[in-house]
Amino acid sequence: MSTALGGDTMVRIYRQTGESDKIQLRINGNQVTACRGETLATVLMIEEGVGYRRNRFGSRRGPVCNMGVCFECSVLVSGRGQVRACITPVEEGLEVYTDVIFQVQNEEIPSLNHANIRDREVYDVAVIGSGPAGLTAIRQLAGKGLKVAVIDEQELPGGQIYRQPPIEFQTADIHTKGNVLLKGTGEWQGIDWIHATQLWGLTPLDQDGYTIVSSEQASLFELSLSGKTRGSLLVKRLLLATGAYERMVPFPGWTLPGMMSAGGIQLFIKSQKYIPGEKTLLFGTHPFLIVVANQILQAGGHIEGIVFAQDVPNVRELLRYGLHSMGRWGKMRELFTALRAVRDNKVPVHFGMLPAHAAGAEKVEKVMFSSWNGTKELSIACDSAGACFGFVASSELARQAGCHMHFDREQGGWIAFHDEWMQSSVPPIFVAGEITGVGGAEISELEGELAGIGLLQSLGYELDDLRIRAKQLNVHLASWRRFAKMLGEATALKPDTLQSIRTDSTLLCRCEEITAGDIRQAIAMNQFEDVNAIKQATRCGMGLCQGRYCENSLLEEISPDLQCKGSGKLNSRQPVKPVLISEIL
Amino acid sequence: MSKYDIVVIGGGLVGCATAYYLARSKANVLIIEKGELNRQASGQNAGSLHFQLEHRLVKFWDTLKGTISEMIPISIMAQDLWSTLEQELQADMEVVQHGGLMLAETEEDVDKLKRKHRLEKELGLDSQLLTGEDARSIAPYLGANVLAAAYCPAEGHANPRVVTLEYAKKARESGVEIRSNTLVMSLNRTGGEWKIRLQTGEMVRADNIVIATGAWAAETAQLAGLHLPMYPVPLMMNVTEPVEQVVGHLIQHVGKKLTFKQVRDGNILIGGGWPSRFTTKHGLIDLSKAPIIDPSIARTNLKVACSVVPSIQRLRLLRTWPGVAGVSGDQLPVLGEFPERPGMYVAGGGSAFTLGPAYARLITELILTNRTSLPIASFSPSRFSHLNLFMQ
Repeated sequence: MSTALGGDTMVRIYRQTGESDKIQLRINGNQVTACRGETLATVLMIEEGVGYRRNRFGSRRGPVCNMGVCFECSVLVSGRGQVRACITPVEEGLEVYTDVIFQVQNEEIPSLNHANIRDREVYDVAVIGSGPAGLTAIRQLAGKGLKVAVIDEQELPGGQIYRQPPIEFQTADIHTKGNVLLKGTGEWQGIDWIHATQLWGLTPLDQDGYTIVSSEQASLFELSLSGKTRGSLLVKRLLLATGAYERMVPFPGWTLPGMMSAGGIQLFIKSQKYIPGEKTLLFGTHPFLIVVANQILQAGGHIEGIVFAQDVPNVRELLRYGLHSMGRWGKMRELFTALRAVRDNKVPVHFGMLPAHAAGAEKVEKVMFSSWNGTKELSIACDSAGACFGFVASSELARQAGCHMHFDREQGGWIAFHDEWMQSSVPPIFVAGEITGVGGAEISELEGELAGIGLLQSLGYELDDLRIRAKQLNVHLASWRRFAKMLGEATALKPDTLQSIRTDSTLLCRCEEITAGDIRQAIAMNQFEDVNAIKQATRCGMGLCQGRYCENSLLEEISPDLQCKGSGKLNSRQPVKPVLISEIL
Repeated sequence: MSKYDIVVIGGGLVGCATAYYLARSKANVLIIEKGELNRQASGQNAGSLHFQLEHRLVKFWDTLKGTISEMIPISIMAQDLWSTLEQELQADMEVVQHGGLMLAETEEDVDKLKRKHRLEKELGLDSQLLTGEDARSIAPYLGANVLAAAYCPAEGHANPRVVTLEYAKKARESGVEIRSNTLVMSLNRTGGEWKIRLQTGEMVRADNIVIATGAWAAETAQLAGLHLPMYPVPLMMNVTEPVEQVVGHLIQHVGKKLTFKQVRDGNILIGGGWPSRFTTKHGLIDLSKAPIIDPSIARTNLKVACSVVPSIQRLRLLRTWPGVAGVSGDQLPVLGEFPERPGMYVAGGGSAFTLGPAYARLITELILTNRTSLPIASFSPSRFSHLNLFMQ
């Protein structure tokens, strides 16, 4: 195992080595053996270390989200272009380069005949995202004689929380969460699963298929696709079940390789059987950290500590949490099991400590914390750190489609309005899951099912007893949403706290390396009130993640009290995420 | 009631540059902008500095035959202004004038290129005709189907995200007041001066006003009771991920809509006047909302770019964005005082990024000295007086 950086070793604690096929690829010219089913990110981290690439400013970077959002894992694949290593499976003979190289020579561009090209094929419904919300909706729509397309960036259904390992790594008892749902998918009729495919644009059309400008009056939407399936589909209804990603909190050193989202670490374990570090630190505000800790321990990893920003909850708060948690036994059981594992393994758990500084030469070596009043300090040595300060809804498609949105800092930022059938303000578009407010898999499943019923109704189906089910779902949802609201309140740091843990020299936009000081100066000089004006003046939000990791910080800088106006929303434009030009032509 | 020598309406490039040049000559100036500075075409265009006759003019050669030559002296003036602008404003605005290539892919294109080049040569614009081979020897990224190119050494690009803001900064330092997020409600001339009512109810007085509202100029002129044939056009741009510096020229196409350049950050900007779609309300254009991009048009634009620079297919498309530009009824600049309204000036009319500094300089000269360093009579709004014969 080569260790490019500092001689430290990256463990592959239970990397699949026995059963799976071995394949050969080249990394920066060197021959490397990998297992079929691994992603390029896993192989690169094992072979080159977590900070396997430099960005164009010369800074070392490595994977953060491990789910296709941050683009920090990008590498050049010969003959194709820059791809996200975390969602690209290894293939025999791939040539991979970790430095940014643009080949000027005018090579023959191979035709795209290996891709599955769609030419405006008409579907009744397209479900975007096959996580908990998408899956329950699809189950509802299946077998009704409807033509349903499911579009997802990942290779397999499941989304993030129910992420499945690649086929090569699957065993009978491999996952528990979402198992029941996922096992059923094979029997659902009329579903066209379009995976490893990105929806990069949506266009409103009238009933004859001509482009119109008003989403509200659309009869059809044209969905532009890239990836394994290319071209476009026409759909009568659309369900956006696009999930969420972790909110990353900028503080000095937060962009060092090894500083990941807690979910990113979890996904390496769940779907790649790989622990990205020997000494993991977890920090943030969310109980999800305990769940991830348990998974790391179960996988045989080691945790240096779990650091919560909140103080130890007092009795009154515990009572309140307890009351709201009644009836949510599954969730509580998961948490208590995880807590027991943390205790049994004597993992140090700290409270009331805010991240102050992450340090390391080429990757994270330690993270320093400081108490709220600055009197206490804590330094923890580690080779990887997973943060979770809550989640941000992936609402870009809803914004682009002109759905009416509102801002709720504690529920995931900009989220979509909907009625009691999960229909958005744009009639053909339904929304379910985190896009309506972050709340977790249970709410997402309920909302997905409800959206499925809503979609059936809007397509003219007689609902009969489904109407009763919809009523029940709305009742369940009301109480779950109270729980989610409480969790959001308990885990979201206040804007002034977030501002206080970043200095003027802290990067706020990690893609374009724009500092908090740059933003503050631009606001002071031009009295900007509009987040897009700041983006334009500074490049903050113009990078590959398209502002997903800086929008909230930008909003805090403009308006610390976050009395957000309509102007406080970054424009979301096509492509929804960057796409290779050769794959959309 | 505050009184100014000149009120400039519009906080884009032309407005901020005009205010700066006026204030440098000690005039007392106020800029009024309905939104934030630099948020429309001035900041949304792709920053081409193109001095050859561009595609939108060449395409209508026969219609414009009598007037197209008028564009060349103003291009030459702009070329000189850009070459010293960073020094003048003491600012880094990523101005590069590393040369531009206008490409031809067919024999018909080559003829157009030759005809255009002849006229430019006559009027003193520095450019030369290259064969496809010669073009590829200075620009190896060009594909095999480029037959010929017109090379203009002064062409290049600047960063539209910052140029207007730097002009505004210098304008402020020279005493200009700027009121952004402020809408003008009415323009009236009484007692030999202009009274400008703002949305706040406040009234401002001025000896002169300059309309520098680009695509909104017709609306602004209407506040003073006049017609001005300036039309908003919805455009779109593509930008790739940043990559190593490879494209060292401004690329245009004589027969197709295309501009292509690589900026300092490494992104390649691909545009050339491809349309987006206006949002409408009751069937009419609604300028209060940004236009919408049709992915099929973005793809067409990219295909045109790939036909002349095939290797960009390997890049990721990072973003597309729409913008609204203003073009005059006859494609020529609109520059001068309205004969019907003494003390009311207009500056704009198309290509107002490349030509913006020149528009601003010329209108400043006209206001302060009543003469200009270039003849601009044929750009005067008086050519539209027939529309205002019946306006009060």
